[in-house]
Amino acid sequence: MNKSTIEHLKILASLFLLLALTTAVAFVPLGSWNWIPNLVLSVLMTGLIILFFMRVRYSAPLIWLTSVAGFVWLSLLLFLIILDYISRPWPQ
Amino acid sequence: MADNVSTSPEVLNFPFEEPAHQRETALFGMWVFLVTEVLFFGGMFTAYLVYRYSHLQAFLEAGRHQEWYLGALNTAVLMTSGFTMALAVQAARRGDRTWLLRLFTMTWLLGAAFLAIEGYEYHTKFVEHLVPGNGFAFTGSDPAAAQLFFVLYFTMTGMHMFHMFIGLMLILFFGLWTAGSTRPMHKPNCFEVLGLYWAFVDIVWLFLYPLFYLVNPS
Amino acid sequence: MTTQPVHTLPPKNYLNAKETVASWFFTHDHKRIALLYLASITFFFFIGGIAAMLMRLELIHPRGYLFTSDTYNKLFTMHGVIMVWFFLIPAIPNVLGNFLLPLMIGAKDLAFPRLNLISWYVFMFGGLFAVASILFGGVDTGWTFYTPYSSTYSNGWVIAMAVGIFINGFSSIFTGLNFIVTTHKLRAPGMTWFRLPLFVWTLYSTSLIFVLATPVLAITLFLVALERLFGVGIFDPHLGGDPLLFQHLFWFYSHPAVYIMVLPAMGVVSELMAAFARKRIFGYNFIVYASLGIAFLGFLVWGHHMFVSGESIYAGMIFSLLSFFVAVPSAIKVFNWTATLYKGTITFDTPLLYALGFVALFTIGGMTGLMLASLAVDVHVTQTYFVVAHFHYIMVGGAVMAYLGGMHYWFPKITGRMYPETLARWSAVILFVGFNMTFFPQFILGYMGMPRRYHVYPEEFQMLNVISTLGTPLLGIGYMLPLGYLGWASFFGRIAGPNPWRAPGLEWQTSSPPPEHNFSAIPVVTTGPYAYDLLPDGSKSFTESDDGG
Repeated sequence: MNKSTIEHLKILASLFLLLALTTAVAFVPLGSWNWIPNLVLSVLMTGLIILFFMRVRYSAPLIWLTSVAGFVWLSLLLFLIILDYISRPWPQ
Repeated sequence: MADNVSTSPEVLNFPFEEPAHQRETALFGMWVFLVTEVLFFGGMFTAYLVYRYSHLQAFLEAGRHQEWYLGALNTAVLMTSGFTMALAVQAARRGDRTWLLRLFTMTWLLGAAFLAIEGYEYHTKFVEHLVPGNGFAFTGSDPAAAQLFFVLYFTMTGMHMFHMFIGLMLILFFGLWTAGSTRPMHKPNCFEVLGLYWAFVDIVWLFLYPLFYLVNPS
Repeated sequence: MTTQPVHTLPPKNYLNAKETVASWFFTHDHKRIALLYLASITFFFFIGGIAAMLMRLELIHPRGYLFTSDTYNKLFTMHGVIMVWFFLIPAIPNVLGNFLLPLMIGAKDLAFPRLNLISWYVFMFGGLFAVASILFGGVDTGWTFYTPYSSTYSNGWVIAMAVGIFINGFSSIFTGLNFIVTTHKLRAPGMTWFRLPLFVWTLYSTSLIFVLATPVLAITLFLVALERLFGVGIFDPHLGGDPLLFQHLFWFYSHPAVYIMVLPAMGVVSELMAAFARKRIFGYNFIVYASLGIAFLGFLVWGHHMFVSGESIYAGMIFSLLSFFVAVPSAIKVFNWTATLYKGTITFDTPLLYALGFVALFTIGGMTGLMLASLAVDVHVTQTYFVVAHFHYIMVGGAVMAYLGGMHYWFPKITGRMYPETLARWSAVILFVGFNMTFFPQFILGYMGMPRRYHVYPEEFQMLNVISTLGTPLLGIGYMLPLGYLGWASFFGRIAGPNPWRAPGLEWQTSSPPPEHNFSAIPVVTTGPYAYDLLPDGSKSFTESDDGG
């Protein structure tokens, strides 16, 4: 078992830990707000996968820029669209 | 070094003249494609955001009917397959055909297990009349909006399953090709690009899991 | 005036490299793929153009005697879908962009030549579905497919058309991906980012939009098809769904799509301005940042299509403000082009006529866009002919004229021959006159209240409609003439030589037509673009050479 495999195992272990954490948090009564810690943990897990399983940690800046570009752009869509919905009166 | 490890040079496609240049370009190309996939799934996540915001109560009620433990199990399975795939890519890079094939097989089996578990879940939904359409029956404050939850559930997990299915087909194809020929070992970029795709499919699920399984779990 | 050296076509070039039919349909050569696209988009332009002609014929009379309302709806839908996705979006990027990008950056081909060929086949496959949808009976939803009409109530072949556009979208995505990767990875030694021609910068900006916007259209059309097929949908108000969600998702793509159509056109205009003023483009850096700025800001304004559809007034205000911002980089470009002409050595060759036409008509289109971006004005003119005129000024007066200008400018590079200059100049003028005659009255009609997509209208609008229709034969001549003489000149035109315009770009430093792999040796770049002032003998022309190496 070489260094690279051990590193990958550590990442997998961290992912399992975060999975357990996000699942546990869902049972904490936060009303409807538990999506926040859930999403934060998903982002962390995604980050680990991108950096290590997808080797972005060891890649050129262009690659890491590209890896976040899609998410940044999606957040533009999400942000501007929710502005519409929260500022409308929604029929009850 | 195992005796079926290749040490011959990498095949170069036109217009490349250096393996490193070709590899960087191939990986960058795949990353650009993954950006398009983020936006593709992103459209559905947008619909989820809008409707969860607008129909929170219905979503909370609908979420109670989800089996969180199956979702958690599937997440663990997929994460592990991501691990085995990452190792498979490393094996391809160093020309280790034996481990590449072993890890590909493990990845494939884990992926197939994921689909099986998901298939079982879809079946229970059908039995409980939670499949949107004429057979949909839901007792709650807003059955129509609850149906929206399930429309999104089936569409988003269905699209994810479709992507997984394609991934499994590609793993099978490259696995069989590698098992029958040494030529793929001269094209290690193929494996790395496939590895990126597989990891991406894993990432999408990491967001589907909390949004569909951890909504007010019982 | 010095005598023109006599040229011959280079004995081996990309056109005669292999001459079987298979060598064309299975080519990996970006130049041949560009010509495949040229044939396709010309074909689709005809279909879209015929639909337009029929519409304008119908609109001569206020009662609309030629077609039923249903048929008229199908005509304008067909016109919109074909023109947007099968002509305007691919025209400049897939014909001129495919041909020129590797040449301009000093590469032998795109990064993924086989993906390039696949993108053409995918384009044609999408077109097959679109044409089939039309032949089976057509779609009547408008090119915008608004729900719940498209997802539930329409009886047209919506799914077939949606599938066609979905597939077409992948062609865009593959092209955009290819261009982005090529620009990053295959630039010749010495070709730094800020030495790139502006056409490359606009292709790059356009490609960013291809990659970031098109997937959202894909998923949106998929959801519409799903709703139609299974009767359960997410845009259905009966389920608590919001039809406006469709519009949000649709316009998140479709607004940036209009920048896909206009950015490459602006890139062409930059090249033409520099070439025909024989001067460095004024404010190169500003034009670069403006191109990237348009690509970015273009993603933040989509709500201006929905001011009266039901989005919140606060969202409307934000989108209105952002829409004003996006006009700024376009204006910067117009000022820079004008400044480029100032004190230049100007020759009014055909490409420049088209470029000047672009500036004039794009400015009018852009200014009317600002009017539409103003919330209060938009309430009055939205969904009227004012909008129709606005976008035709940009798409036809702008993008199509730039496309024609580019086709004329690079025609000698593509074919090795020159087109007939006098005839071409007349054609450009006829097009300009015909265009304005067709579309200017529509601003007035819209302001007076004539709704778009109606074939029946009040009597008092008839005169302006007739004037508009009378402009269309002139427009038609303006399109047919180039088709004719460029086709003729491809085989019988005067041989042009490697650099008939005596321009400094890398594409002009190789033979006309170029060899199969573009350059006999990858050039090493030592100067910036538009280096008109860096000439050995101080004259304003480059030395011609026949080997093009």
